[in-house]
Amino acid sequence: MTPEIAALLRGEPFRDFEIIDAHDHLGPWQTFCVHGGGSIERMLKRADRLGIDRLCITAHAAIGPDYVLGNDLVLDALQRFPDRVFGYVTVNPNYAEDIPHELERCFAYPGFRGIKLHPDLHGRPVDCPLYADAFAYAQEHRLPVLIHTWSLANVMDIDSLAGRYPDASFIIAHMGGAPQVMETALAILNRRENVYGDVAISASPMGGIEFFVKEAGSKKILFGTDMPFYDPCITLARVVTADISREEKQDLLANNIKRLMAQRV
Amino acid sequence: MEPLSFFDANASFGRRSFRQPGSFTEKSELLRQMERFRIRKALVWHSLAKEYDPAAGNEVLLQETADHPALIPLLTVLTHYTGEFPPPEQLAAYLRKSHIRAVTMFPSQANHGFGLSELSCGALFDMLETYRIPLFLSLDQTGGLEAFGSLVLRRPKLRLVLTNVNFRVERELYPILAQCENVWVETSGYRPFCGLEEACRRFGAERFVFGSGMPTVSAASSVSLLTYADISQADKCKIAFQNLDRLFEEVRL
Repeated sequence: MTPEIAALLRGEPFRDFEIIDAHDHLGPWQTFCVHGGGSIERMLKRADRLGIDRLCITAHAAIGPDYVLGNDLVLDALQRFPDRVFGYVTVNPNYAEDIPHELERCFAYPGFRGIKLHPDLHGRPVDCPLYADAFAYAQEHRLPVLIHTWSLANVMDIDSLAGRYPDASFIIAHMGGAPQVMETALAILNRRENVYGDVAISASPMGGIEFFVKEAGSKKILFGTDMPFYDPCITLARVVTADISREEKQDLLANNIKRLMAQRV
Repeated sequence: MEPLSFFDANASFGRRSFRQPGSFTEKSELLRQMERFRIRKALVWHSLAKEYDPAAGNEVLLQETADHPALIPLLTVLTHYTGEFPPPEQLAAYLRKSHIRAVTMFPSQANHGFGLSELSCGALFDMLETYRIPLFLSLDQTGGLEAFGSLVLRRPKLRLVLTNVNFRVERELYPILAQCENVWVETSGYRPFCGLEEACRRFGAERFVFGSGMPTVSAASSVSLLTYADISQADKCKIAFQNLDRLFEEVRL
């Protein structure tokens, strides 16, 4: 039995790795119950239980109706837990006139490290012109842009954007969603130096981590859990126990997101 | 403290119409994964029974599990009206003779297409109630939790294990667990944030049975939902194997 499976079976935190969760949320949500209101305190308690060192968060309020409110909630968490939390600045293209100011306002705080977009919930395609200010900002400052994806159109749009904004980094959240889309997403990861994918997939597919690493290599895959949409243990367990090397696991669990965030200028 | 071991309430093998990249189809790989994660035995059905023909799939299942005591067959059943399956009492005799203690069905229109109405399933449900045989139903086969709740309310003696739930279910599932004693939830899909500990606090660990969801779901993920739940070790043991053992012991075939 590997040490990782032994820890899993005993319910012990995975302390042998540095672990940065690159895809988290914050707060309650409209369509289902989020225990503890999805508070940062409850999330960090859960992170401690599992051995997750840092969270990278965006607020549900921001991917929903009010991104200024949501970014303020993230800022509050950053200020209260500066050693445990990084933030994504979320923008909504339906209020595009506010985007430049919101980016400047939030990135004045060093805890914000990337941009988050949720085109599906905001009812716009990924390659919507109303996002142009956000992509230009990411290009200028060499920032990672985490983009929710759940369709072939989503990931094909990212392929196009990655070519037009080569200094920004694009993270295909959920690796595109459906298994058939994942195969295209992985091909884009191979084709584009500045495109990455995360493993926040609620279905927790058997063998998924091994498949991703085999197809795209460990340097292009990020660990993310979608907490508190669903419990982070399911994603951490399948990364830590995956049939890949320890070095590859560490790439996923922290090295890759640290490298992306360190590119900021 | 000895690590947990498990009785898996939700596993299958055999070729499927769509093969998810990274997943497996072979019984040998299922057994290997069970060994990795201390799953001592598993209730299993065969993919042919769902995606081709229940009788043919069941036959393969019984052949394939005959020499593997760790694999407990979960028979896929149909209603008897078309003559494809025996009438309920004959089915009960077959279950008794074959030492089968649990059944599943795939009544959705996408699969076997007979629904869960009394008109269609009443006689079959009567038999399952009489012998206290648990019926394992995947959420995607129920027509949704509202329809499942109606079934549970009108059949309070039918022992139902709801499988393959998801992280969005609690607002509809909690009323069922609060008001209906005849429902157990299989855990592989029960992934709300801190969900298992919250549900155990409200309804007791007796209402949950461990499932891996293999071969489509990561066994490591399913194990983690239980091992990292903030509940007592005694409650973990109930969910890991005791509750399912008890459901089997209470069958009166």
